[in-house]
Amino acid sequence: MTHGETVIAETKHKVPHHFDSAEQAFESSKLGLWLFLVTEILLFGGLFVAYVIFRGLYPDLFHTASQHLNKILGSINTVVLICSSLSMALAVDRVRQNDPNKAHQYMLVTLFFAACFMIIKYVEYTHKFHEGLLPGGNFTNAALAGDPKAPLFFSLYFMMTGLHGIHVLVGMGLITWVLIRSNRGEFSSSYYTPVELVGLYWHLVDLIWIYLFPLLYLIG
Amino acid sequence: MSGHAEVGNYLTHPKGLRSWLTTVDHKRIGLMYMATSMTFFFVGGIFALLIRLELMTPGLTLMSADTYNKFFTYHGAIMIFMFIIPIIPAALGNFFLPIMIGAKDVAFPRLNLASYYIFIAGAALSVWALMAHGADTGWTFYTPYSIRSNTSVVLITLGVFVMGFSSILTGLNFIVTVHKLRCPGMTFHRMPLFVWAIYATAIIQVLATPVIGITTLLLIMERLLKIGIFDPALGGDAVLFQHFFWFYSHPAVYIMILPGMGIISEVIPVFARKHIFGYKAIAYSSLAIAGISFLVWGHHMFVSGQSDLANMLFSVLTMFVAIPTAIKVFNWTATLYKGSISLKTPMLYALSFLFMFTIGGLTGLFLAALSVDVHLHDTYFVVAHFHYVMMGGTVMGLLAGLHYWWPKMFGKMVHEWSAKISWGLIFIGFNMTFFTQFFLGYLGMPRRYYDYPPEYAGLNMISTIGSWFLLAGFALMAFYFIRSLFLPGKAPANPWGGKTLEWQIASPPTEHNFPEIPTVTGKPYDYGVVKL
Amino acid sequence: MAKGHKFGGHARAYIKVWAALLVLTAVTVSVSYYDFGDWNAFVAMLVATVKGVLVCLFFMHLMYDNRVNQVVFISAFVFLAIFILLTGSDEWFRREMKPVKVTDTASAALGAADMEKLMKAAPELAAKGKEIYGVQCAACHGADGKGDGPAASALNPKPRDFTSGVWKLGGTPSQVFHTITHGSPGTSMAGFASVSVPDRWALVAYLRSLSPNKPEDTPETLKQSGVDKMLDQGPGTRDQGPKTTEAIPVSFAMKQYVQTDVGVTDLTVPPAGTDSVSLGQKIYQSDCMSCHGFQGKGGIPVSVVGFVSEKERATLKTKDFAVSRQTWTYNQAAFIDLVSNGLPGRNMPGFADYSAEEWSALYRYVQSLRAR
Repeated sequence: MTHGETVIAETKHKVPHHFDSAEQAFESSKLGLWLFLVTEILLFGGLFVAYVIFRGLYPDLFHTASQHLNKILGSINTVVLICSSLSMALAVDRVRQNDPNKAHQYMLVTLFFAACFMIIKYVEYTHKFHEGLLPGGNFTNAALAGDPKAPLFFSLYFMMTGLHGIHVLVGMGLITWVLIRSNRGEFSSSYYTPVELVGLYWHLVDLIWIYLFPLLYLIG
Repeated sequence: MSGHAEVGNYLTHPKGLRSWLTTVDHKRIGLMYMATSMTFFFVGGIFALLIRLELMTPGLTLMSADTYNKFFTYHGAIMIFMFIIPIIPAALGNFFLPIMIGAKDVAFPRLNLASYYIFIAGAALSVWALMAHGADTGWTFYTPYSIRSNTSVVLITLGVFVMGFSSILTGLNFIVTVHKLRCPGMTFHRMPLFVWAIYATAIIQVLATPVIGITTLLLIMERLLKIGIFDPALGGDAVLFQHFFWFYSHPAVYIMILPGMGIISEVIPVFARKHIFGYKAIAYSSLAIAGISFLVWGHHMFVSGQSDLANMLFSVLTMFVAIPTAIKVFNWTATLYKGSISLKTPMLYALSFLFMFTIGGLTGLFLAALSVDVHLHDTYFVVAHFHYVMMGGTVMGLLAGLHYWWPKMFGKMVHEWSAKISWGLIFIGFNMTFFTQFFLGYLGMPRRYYDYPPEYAGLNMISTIGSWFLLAGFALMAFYFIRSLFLPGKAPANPWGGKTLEWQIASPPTEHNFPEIPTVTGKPYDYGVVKL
Repeated sequence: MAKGHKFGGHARAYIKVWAALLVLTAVTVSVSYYDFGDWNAFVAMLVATVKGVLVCLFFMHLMYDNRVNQVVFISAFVFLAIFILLTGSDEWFRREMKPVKVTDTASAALGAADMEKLMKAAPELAAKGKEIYGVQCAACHGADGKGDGPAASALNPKPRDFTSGVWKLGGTPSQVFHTITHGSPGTSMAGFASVSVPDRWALVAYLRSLSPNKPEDTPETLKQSGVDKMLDQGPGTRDQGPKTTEAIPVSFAMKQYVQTDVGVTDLTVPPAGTDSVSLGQKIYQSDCMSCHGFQGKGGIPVSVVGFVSEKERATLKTKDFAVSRQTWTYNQAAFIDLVSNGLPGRNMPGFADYSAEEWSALYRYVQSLRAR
């Protein structure tokens, strides 16, 4: 393993041998992550397509069914995610400025907001379960029983928010991982690729919610 | 750069099974993909032979209708998801793409190994499904039948979901490699055309594969939780599934054929000893095909009850695919013109590609025409068409590539005459098997039935006999490939006189490909100054 | 890492963006309480997009990133738009599906003038009728129309002897046409509506030519048999219903092709030991025989698959029971399952309305046909 390996002094991080420089490695990782984000958008894209198609076909149904979602909780969750996005951006910024202590605090704040989001989501879900607003064939709600297509809206609601929720959980895991590594002093202004990438991922989770929120909760 | 000291090549250094299973060397991962996919090609081929045996005579020849339904599903699913999608990009692409752009490895070697194991996991899930209750939906898993079928649809689609991840990660890796790891002097317009083709393929893999992910996920949820998005009984739309499925699976057809085209673009200039004609046209037509591939999926759905508007749009858009494709065929033919052609086995396969892919492509235009498709849809005409594209195109490209690069990969030459006989058997067998099916389909024989009226017996018999020629050809090929590994002697570094970077290093290459990073100063197919 | 440092210390910008995002969230929530009609979705999406762009440009600092990354990320939305629009071009523009009216497609295809011509018993029509008779009727009614066909011995009441001059349901052209079309209730005579209208009129001509008793139509008989509706009796009198039929169902078209296909052999052979009619045999002969033949030898075309040449058709024929090796041949449950569900791909309809006793009788009878 002697092929042009560069070691970045402060962080003990070795640049993989097949890269010429640390910058090349950083830029490669970032392009890789942007490509990954593209696949995430198209993964959610399938659900957005289903949503747009069925909303185009049954606009009134979507209007009525969305009244059964809690606008207040949805709005609070939007604010919570925006705040978490800010703290994550600040955390990345601090790592880049060689200020690990501040960065750790911001990451903990991000984790706190993410946990808030999941708890509110949990409250909303239990509420829906109680009312029988379940996806597709499990739908038992009496108020909407008159519309045979009503379960469709809740199928989409649970698939979209469920898949998004899984991404939030994964994001929490990733933030914890960079937090631990950062605590070990593995990052500095010359090597912080994982923090940068986790940050980008977390903003994408926020970005998707920014669209989910009006589509599901705010059908006027 | 030749004549450097004999350091251990990548095959023998480091040694041991463990070093292979944990390798991050793109060449070893490529070979592991190749071994796995070829195994699946063998299994899928067995099912194909059994299908042809059942169809040898009308009536029940060998198996019941249910068994037949399962077998053609296995054949389709195995060949598509486990053989033809990974074989060229993940096996040959993995091996040669970094070398051809002068890199030591792909951008993310550990991710590369991970995507191999993800592929294995997905394939294992699918194979488990086949052994549990099988699947009888066809490889397309159309709803609503796939929601109702009492076979292992959940498991097999989960396998497809997981294999999709592998495909995404491979594509992502290649795009970053091409963008960030080209050696000094290797501008985009100096990249070999195989790299362009793999690059275009990778774009499709990244953009399209997530959609099959969400599609299979929705189908699994449909079966487990009855979400009803694809189930008309619950307010959904069964045809929407077809849109989802083909939004991936049509571009996936180009994931299969583009790398094959890339290999042809490598082989033809080498064996015609001419600079490739229209380098940029071929390179950019790969990207054009990748782009257009996302606009045409509805031509699989002309008789599904799709709206007239969509039918017309998709019919017209499909015709556009012919333009970049024809540009390629034109340029390959023009490269041959006044070339100094040597009919070595790779070239024979490349020429068969030109011949058979053109038939496959042109019959695709018949099918793209709305009114003709209504007559031919779901008949053997379609079966013949896509086998001419997939087998006459991709598999011929693959075999051209295998014969072309075998000396580089293993440092051994194959026996030329065995290879030529095998080529003859495969060429005759393939055309016997599938050309007859154009007639059968035109006469109205529907696909996916274990039986047919006696009026179709003669052509079916010829088709089945053709499949035995294919079997003989491939058996001979397996024999001489494996035998070559145990023969004494060593292939020269550049047996065909190629000009691209992989021919400038040792056969087989060393662990990090290049003793020092090369600097490229010219175009890849510069045969004006070649010395033999 | 030169590029990394280029946009260091962005905390203040981040907080500004954050504030803007909160304001926009407040806007979109409050706006949702007002009704902009069709513009609701547009306004909501516009605000969301502004928010999304802010997140991308600043939090994800795409604004300062290199061109490749920008193109990559934007391409995701381009392809998502393609996905939505082309899928929508189908889903939102489907033609409304109406149930197909199939009441009288055959007569709708014929003009009233043609119908009148067909009703006249021209000799060439009788000759054509004789051919059709040979395929469709002779098995029961006998080659010469004497009611002594090979299958006649199994039937009760016996098939009509056309040479006797007796017409149970009337002998005028329209009455005979009606009987051929709808059958004779209480007898084994089935309706042959699947035979095309011109062919049925040809049969009428032939049958009447056999009989010494040939009454002519009166307005009453025309009305009684419903044939008057097919005839032009001045403006407004003709039932326009069938003409509006939009599509000829495929199954109907298939039947039209099938019934001219010859080579049906099984119908001419009498079944073995037909003296006592068992329950199974009775069910078989009423529900199964028309496609599977008297002896279950099959070979009767039920569907046209394609055209081998201009004249020759590839047809789907029923199978000989004896050659089958499927589960139903030894397992009664599988047999019941098969018969009640039918085989959709092979034009076998499902027959489910049997009692347990009838099921086992039918199963035994089919087994006896196999054993033969």
